[in-house]
Amino acid sequence: MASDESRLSHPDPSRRQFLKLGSTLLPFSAVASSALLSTAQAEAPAKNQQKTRAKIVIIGSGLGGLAAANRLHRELDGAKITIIDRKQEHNYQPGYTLVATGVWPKDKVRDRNRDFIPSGVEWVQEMAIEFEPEQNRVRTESGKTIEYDYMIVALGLQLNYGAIEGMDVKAIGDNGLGSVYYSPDAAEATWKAMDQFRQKGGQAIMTLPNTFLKCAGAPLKMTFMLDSRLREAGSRQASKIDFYSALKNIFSVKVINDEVLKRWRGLDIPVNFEHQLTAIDIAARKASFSLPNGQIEQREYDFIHVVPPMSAPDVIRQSVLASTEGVMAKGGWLEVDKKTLQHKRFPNIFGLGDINGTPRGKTAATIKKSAPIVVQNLLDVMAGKSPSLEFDGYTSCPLLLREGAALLIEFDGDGNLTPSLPMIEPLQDSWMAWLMKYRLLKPAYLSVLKGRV
Amino acid sequence: MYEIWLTLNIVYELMWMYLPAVVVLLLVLALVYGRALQRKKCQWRAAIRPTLMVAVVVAILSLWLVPVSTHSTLADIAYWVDWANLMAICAGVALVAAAIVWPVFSLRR
Ligand SMILES: Cc1cc2nc3c(=O)[nH]c(=O)nc-3n(C[C@H](O)[C@H](O)[C@H](O)COP(=O)(O)OP(=O)(O)OC[C@H]3O[C@@H](n4cnc5c(N)ncnc54)[C@H](O)[C@@H]3O)c2cc1C
Repeated sequence: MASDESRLSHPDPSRRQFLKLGSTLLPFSAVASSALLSTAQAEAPAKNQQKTRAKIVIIGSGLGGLAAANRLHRELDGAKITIIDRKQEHNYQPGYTLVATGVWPKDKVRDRNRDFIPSGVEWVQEMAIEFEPEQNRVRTESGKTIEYDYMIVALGLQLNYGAIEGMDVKAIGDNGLGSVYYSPDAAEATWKAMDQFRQKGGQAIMTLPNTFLKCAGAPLKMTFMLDSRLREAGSRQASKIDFYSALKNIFSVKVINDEVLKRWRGLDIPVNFEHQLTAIDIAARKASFSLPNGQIEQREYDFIHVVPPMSAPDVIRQSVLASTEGVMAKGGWLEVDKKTLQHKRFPNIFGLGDINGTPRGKTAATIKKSAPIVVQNLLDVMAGKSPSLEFDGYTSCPLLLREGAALLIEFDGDGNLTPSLPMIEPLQDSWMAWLMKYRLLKPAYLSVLKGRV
Repeated sequence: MYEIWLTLNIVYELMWMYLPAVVVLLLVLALVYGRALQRKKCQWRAAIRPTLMVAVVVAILSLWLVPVSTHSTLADIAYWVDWANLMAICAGVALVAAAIVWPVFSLRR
C-alpha cells in the first residue's frame, strides 16, 4: 500500500506522455497565466463567507462528496465539516471505458482522496452503517456515532453482481469475461479479455440490465468500441456481436435510442429486447437470460460484457431515507425532490450524485451541474430560507463510437437534448467530442471535484 | 461566461497534469528572450518574416500531428465544429512555436 501511495502522489509522466502532450497543451499556454490568476482567486476564501457553527456531515468521498466538501469549505466560516468514507483511492470512473477498450492505462483513473480533501475538513475513514435522521446522527462501522445539523448523502450506488448467478468479479479478464464497471483493475482486465477475443473473433454478447444505471451510455460505448476493435484486427467478419437488453429499449432518451439502433443495424449488431442476464457459467462460457414469459434462454459466447443490476447501497436502501413509493422505491434510491435535491421528509438532508432517486442522470456531468445547486440550497436552508435553485436533470455522455469519434450527447431530466453550445450537433460523429473524452474531461472533472466550476 | 470559466479551469488542470512540459516550455522561453533582450542590436523586425514562415509550417504540420497525438487521424475530422477546433489548436501550437523562434531569429546578424 505504501508504495502504491507514493506512486500515486508522485506521478512520473513518461516520455511518451510528454511528447503526446505537446500538441494539445501548447495552444493553451497563451491563456495559462490568466488561468492561474483566475484559479488562485477562486481558491481564496469566498468574500462573503457565511458564519456558522453548524455541523455538516457528508457521506461519501466520490466526486459528489468532494465537490460538496470543497464548496462548503469555501462558503462557510466556522462550520464543522466531516466526510465519512473508508475509501482511500479516488477513481476517475468516466475513464474506465477508455481503460477497458485499450485507449488509456489504468493509472490515469487512480488518484488519492487525501489530495482532494480541503484542510480543516475532518475525514472519518470508515463506512456509515446506520442512519438515524430523526435524531440527526449516523453510526459508523466502528460503532462511532456522529451527530450533524445538516447532511449531504453522496455515497454513490451499489453494483449487484450477486444478482447474476455464477458471476464472480475476480474472474473478470479470464474466459472472455469483461465488465467495465467494477474497478480500474476490472476495466484493465476487460481490455485483456477483449484484446484476446479480437485476435480470432467469435461470438460476443453485450448485456444491459433493467435497473437505473450509472452512465447508461457505458454499455453502448463498450459495444461500439468492441465492433471497432474487431474491425481494426480484421476479425469482424469472423465475429457476431449480439446485444441483450433487459428493457424494451437500450437508452431512455428516445432520439438517442433510435440513433444508436440505426447505427447498430448498419454495423450488424442485432438487439434482443427483454432479455435479462440471470446466470453465467464462466468456465463453460454460457450465459442464461430470462424472458418476460418466464422462459430461460441459454447462449454460448467467446466474449461477454456483463453490466450488473444497480441499486442504492443497502445502507440507504434499508434506511428510512430510501424512497417509499413509485419507481424509485424498487432500487431504494434516496428520496429527494428532483428539483431542489432536498430530502422529501428530512429537510436538513440533501442528496448528490448517483444515490439520488431522480430520473436519469447518474453521471459526473450531472454532479457538475447539481453540486453548486445542492450547496446553495443547503446554504439557503441554513440561513432559514427555502432552497432557491432548481436542477433541470442535466446529464451528458460522450458516446464513444471508435478511436477518434464520439457523439456529444447532453439532455435534461425530461429527455430533451440540450447542447451546451448551439453549434454542437449531438448526433454527428465528432472528433471534438472524442478529444473531450480523451483529454479534456478529466481536467474538467478535477475542477468540479475541487469545487471551482 | 460559464464555458470560458470552465475552459480556463481545464487549462489550469492540464498544466498541473503535464507540469514537466510546462516547466520546460517556460524555461525555453525565458532562455531565448533572456538572450535576445541582453543583446543591444536585435533584429526584431527582420525576424518577423522567418518567424511567420515557421509558424505556418508548424500550423500545417499540426493539422496532422494533433489528431495523431490523440489516437485519431485527419479522416476523423468530420464536420465544421471539428475543423474549427482543430484549426484553433493548430493556431495555438503555431503561436507558441513563433514565440520561441522569434527571439532566436532576431539574434541573427
Ligand atoms: C464505466 C463508467 C463510465 C462512466 N462514464 C461517464 C461519462 O462518460 N461521463 C460522465 O459524466 N459520467 C460517467 N460515469 C459516471 C460517473 O463516474 C459517476 O456518476 C460519478 O463518479 C458518481 O459520483 P458519486 O459521488 O455519486 O459516487 P462515487 O464516485 O461512486 O462515490 C461514492 C463514494 O461513497 C462511498 N461510500 C459508499 N458507501 C458508503 C458508506 N456506507 N459510508 C461511507 N461512504 C460510502 C464510496 O466508497 C465512494 O467513495 C461513468 C461511470 C462508470 C463506472
